[in-house]
Amino acid sequence: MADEEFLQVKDLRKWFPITGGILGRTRAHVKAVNDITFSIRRGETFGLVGESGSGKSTVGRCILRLLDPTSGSVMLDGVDIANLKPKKLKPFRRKMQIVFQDPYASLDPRQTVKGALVEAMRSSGAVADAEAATRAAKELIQRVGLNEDHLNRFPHEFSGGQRQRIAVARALATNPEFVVLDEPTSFLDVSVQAQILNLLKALQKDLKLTYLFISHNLSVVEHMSDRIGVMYLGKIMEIGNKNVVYRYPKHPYTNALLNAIPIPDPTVPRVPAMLIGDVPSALNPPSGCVFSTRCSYVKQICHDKEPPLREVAEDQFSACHFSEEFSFETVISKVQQAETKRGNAAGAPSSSG
Amino acid sequence: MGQATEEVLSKKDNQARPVLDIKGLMVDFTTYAGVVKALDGVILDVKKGEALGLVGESGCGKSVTAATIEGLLPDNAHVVGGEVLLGEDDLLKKSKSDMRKIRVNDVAIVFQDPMTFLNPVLTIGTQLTEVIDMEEGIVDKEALKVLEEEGKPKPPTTGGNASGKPWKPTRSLRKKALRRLATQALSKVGLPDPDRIFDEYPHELSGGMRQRCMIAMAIARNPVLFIADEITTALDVTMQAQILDLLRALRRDFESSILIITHDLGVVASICDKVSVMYAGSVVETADIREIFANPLHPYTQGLLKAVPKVMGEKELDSIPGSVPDLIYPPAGCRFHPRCQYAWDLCAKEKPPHIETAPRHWVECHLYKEMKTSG
Amino acid sequence: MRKGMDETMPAPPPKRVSPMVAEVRYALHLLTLNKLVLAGIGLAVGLTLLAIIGPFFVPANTPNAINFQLGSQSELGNPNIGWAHPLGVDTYGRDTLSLIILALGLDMGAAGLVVGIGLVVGVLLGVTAGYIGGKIGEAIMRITDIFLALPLFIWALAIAAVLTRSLNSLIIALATVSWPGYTRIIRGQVLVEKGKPYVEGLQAVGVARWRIMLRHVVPNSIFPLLVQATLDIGGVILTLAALTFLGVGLTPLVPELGQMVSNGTTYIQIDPALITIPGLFIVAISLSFNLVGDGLRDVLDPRLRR
Repeated sequence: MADEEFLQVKDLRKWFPITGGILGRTRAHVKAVNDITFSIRRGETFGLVGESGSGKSTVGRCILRLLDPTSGSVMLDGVDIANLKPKKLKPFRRKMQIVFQDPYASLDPRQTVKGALVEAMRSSGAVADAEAATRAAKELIQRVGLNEDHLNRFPHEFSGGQRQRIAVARALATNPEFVVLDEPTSFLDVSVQAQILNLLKALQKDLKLTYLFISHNLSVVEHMSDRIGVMYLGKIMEIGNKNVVYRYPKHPYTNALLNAIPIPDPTVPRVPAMLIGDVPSALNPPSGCVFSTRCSYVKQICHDKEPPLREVAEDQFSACHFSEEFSFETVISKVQQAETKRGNAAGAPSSSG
Repeated sequence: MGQATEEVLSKKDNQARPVLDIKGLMVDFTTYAGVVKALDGVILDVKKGEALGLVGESGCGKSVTAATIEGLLPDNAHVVGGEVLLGEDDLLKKSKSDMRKIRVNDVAIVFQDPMTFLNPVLTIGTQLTEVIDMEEGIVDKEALKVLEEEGKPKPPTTGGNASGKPWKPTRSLRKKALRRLATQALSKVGLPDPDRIFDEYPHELSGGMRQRCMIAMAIARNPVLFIADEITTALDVTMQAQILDLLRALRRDFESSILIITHDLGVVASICDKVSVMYAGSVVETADIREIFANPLHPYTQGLLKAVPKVMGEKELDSIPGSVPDLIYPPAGCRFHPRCQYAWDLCAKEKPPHIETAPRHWVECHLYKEMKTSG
Repeated sequence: MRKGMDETMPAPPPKRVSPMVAEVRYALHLLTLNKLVLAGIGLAVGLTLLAIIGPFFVPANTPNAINFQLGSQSELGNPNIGWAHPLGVDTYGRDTLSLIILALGLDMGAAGLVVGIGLVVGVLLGVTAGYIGGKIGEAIMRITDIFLALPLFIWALAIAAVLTRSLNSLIIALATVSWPGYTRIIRGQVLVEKGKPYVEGLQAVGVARWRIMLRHVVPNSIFPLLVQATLDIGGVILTLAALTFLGVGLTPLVPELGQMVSNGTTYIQIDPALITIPGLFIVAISLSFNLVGDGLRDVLDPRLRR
């Protein structure tokens, strides 16, 4: 295991049983996460993308043991936390935290900000006594861009963006090394989102954090991540460096996904939608490759044999039988090239937004 | 109007009266906490065949504007000024029953969440045919077509039948005709197997398909204005792409005017001709789509464009400091001035007028002066 | 533009109130919107005050259940009793108004006890069932189902037969059938709160389960229960009166509304007021509490808020 690999997820599975009948027998399973393998390096931001039903949120919760995985392992700094008994888990709980999607439901509405922070610190053992906790709370709230008198207020007195800041503060209260960010800006306006994303980036640098950034918003993920994992129906389709994957993906699903992003630039040519129809149900995923029912390059082998996730280019992994034959180039790549040309022609650096 | 503007306008078929013309609309809401001055003089227009994107963040008033056009404001809302002209009629002066007719025939709206719009206990077919049947004579016409195709004798269309009354199709004939019209509408929105979907219930369909059904119901009456209120916000990106393709195709084929309400600048860039940017109850900037991205004038628009991640590998996002104002106690003068880096004392005193600073580019900001007109 | 918008309107300084206070204030505001509910609240408050303060004004020689004096039955049906007995006299010669005042206290106190015990037991069991779930939760819910299935009158009769005929046995009987309802309600609420992200957040941070349950989940789920309890007070009083009317549980001399009605049935032709007056008060109490409960339920209805 490489020294820099901080978190290693191997063959992670989370199946939700569907019970039925008088005796409550298990009739079927929702295969939300189905044999996922990937790793995150220390200090990086790993972006996990996927559409609804892909299982990305479930992965986050399984890693944090908010849900117990059905099988598989999660190695954090050498210890398999997926299979630890709850009592042994407590010291590891400190190291990893989560920021949720909904700023309006992620805090107890009847608890003050200070109460929430102090409770977090004391429950995790990050701090010795009440006085130290108060001092730490003051420091923490300022670090996320709010100030001391906000400590005595209640969540409903804040805006969505401010609440997310508080949620980040609460996550940082235990001095974690690893933070799962589960759609942290989906419910926020664009301008507020920018503030929160900038804050997260600054915190990562200052506190040397490792992030797992889960989102369905591909532009935000591109901005935040170093490496990307693309999920579909419980399985990983592609993993790789962000710049490579966003421009030259090796999996047809990734290609379709990236070309569907509406780019905020009217001069960019519109690509007609590549994927038709809907995602199949996770109760009964297609046999063979889960994407086979919607793939434009599908062949018989795709229905018969599930393609393993393998390295198809340097540090780029794909779960497709034919990855080596594809040389996709996304709209994003073409637009970036055009930008660079324009920038060079104008003799000035291209506008970076 | 200057000569330059006139030339530009005469090139497109747009010099006719706009389909929708909102002039200085002001709407207040009375709530427990106080009076929310939600709309503070909204000015926008949509021309025939045009797709206008109404962009803004939460609380800017875009949904309230849509609700006002549709006559769907709640009881605690009061229109305190302005006009909403659909063609020549002021919708604000219409009675409730008139608005109901208008909602059906002229201005269709599709919302973000199809599940709240579709009745869960009725099949898609029942709901769709209900809408189609509202138009006088359309079913009869289709029934005649059915008879023709089946080779049956056509009834006399004038003079009535034996008892002197005009001909009416039988119930089964009506059902057939309605079903045909409905399945045609469903296939127009790109639904595969419309015959099967006709008999299905909303919960049996996926989100994207429900959205398409809603669009089918909306366009069934060939409305002159079609309002899409955040219809792709809840959809996955691949489904969103399909819906946008559909909207583009519908525009091509039907020439209806569309008002697209969204907070996503990418969606706007991919389908709109013109954009109006709203902030805290007024339209702060309106321009053609390329113009607004290339040359945003209002500081808020500039800030917004800089805050959006554009998949270009930018390092930092510029955010707009502060947050959206409380509309019960809004800032005086220009509502954006507390957050504006260019603000000076005039901005805190007077609300800037809505002026045309360049051809077909309007801004509400004291930084800019009215475009000089020649002659 | 707008008239009078030229000066900046200053926002009032933010009031630092806890969410409970803010909610209560808003709830009160909503309550005042419905006139019927207001009337109900007024009546309920009035009756409660009467029950609490009234007994101090009851003349000393009015018998209560313990010491009584048989008065003369000749006063029955006498229309000229005058102000000494503004509501008349009962079959034992006791002043009706005094009896009503004492009975109000008795009834409302008993109903309060019933609901109180039911709440405590119901909350304990319901929270456990909801939060811990699993087999324990299932077991609790099945026991709850059993108690829900008890037929009220027969159960009350049985209890009265086994225990002594007294108010306490009635209270016990009624409490045992009232807690299951609360268990179900709060279990539902707990399940809802459990699913909310803030509970997951607390778990992630490492807060102990019991602490999450008691300090976070319970305070957030208790409101609908209080609504139901208020509604129930009216219902319990009705049931209590019915039971005592049928002769279950109480001796004839106890000042209790149902008992008074029962006593009066024999003399209905001489003095119908013996039945109507206590009857009216029974209606008044249950109606007023029902209205209050209704109002509270409306207040909680999310569609009517904000």
